Amino acid sequence: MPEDDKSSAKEDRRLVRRALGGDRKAFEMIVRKYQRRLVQYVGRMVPDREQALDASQEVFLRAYTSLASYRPEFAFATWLYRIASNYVIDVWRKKKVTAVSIDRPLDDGEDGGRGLQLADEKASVVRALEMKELRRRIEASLGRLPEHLREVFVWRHVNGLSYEEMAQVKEIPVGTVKNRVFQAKEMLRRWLEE
Amino acid sequence: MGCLTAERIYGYLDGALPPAERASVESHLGRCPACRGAFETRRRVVEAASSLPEIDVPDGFVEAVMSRLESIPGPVPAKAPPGLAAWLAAAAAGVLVLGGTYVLAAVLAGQSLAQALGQLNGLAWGAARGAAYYSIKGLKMLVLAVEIFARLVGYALETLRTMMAAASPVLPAVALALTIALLVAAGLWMDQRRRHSREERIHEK
Repeated sequence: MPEDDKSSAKEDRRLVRRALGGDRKAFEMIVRKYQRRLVQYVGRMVPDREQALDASQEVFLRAYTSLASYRPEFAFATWLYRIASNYVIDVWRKKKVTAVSIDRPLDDGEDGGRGLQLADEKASVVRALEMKELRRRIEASLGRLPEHLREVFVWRHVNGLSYEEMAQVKEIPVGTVKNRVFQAKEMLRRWLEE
Repeated sequence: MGCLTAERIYGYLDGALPPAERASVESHLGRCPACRGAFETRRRVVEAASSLPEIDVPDGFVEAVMSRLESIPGPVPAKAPPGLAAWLAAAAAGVLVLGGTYVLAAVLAGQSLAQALGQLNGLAWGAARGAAYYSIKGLKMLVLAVEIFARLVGYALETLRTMMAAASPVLPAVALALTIALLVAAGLWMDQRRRHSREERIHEK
């Protein structure tokens, strides 16, 4: 574990201890530290922005009430993502949430249907614009991915989690996680090439 | 080396391939335009996916969480598994309740308290003697079972030694080689199946 991660984990343990002792300021520091990461994940799993922010808050509340069950030998982020994942699954079950209808055409821009194939030599401005468009189309396609694939795709590419960390969060084998990420990328690629 | 599979391309992009395999992928890309196209497509997808715009966290998010926190009780203490002392206390409580109920029932039935306590005392001694008797009996049976098991293992080992001594010295080596060959063949077959089911040949389109 890199030195920065070690000191961050140590700080997390200290903050959790203080929060368990009734120090709400310590939990506030935890929220400040993890809010961005959590919102990036939940925001891509729950379609509506307000709903996503509300869900993120709810995840922190759940984390707070079950703080005593946190085991310091694991990374706090892993524990928090597990709570978030369970909560998001609850939301899906209750509301049958889908970010983008499968029937909705992916590309409603002017150049709809354009493939990914690019000439080798392109001006950097054009390349930057194309990358921006590609990002937009990926965001729009995320909602079409099955939830179990979308989740690991977001963790891998947005949150930057390792396969091992994801396996720990979901309590499934690393091979299964790799396979899911692979499937998600290939699905997206095919849709983007349509 | 054949054409690159999608899995291999992602492995390369993930930085998960060992140096020799990376070099081999690069060398293949240098001479196969089809693989280069497939690689470039996937590289761009991964690059775009890894640089998606960040979702803004609104000002006041933390304050909103902390405000909602005010209305809920603090962290619920984790339930520790009961220790030996707790089990002993529970057992003692159970015995006391049983004894108390017996004495109460006896008194209500018309016996004096001294009589009821005397009977309870007799019952308790009887139960203790019975428990001790069956504990010793159980222990004896356990020791006997261990002895029988040890003898059986001894006989098995002796038989094996005799068979090995009678057999040609080459026989164990052949058996070992055959076992390893079988295991390797099974592993290769399973790997091949996995690759065929999961990977996609890049010339599919």
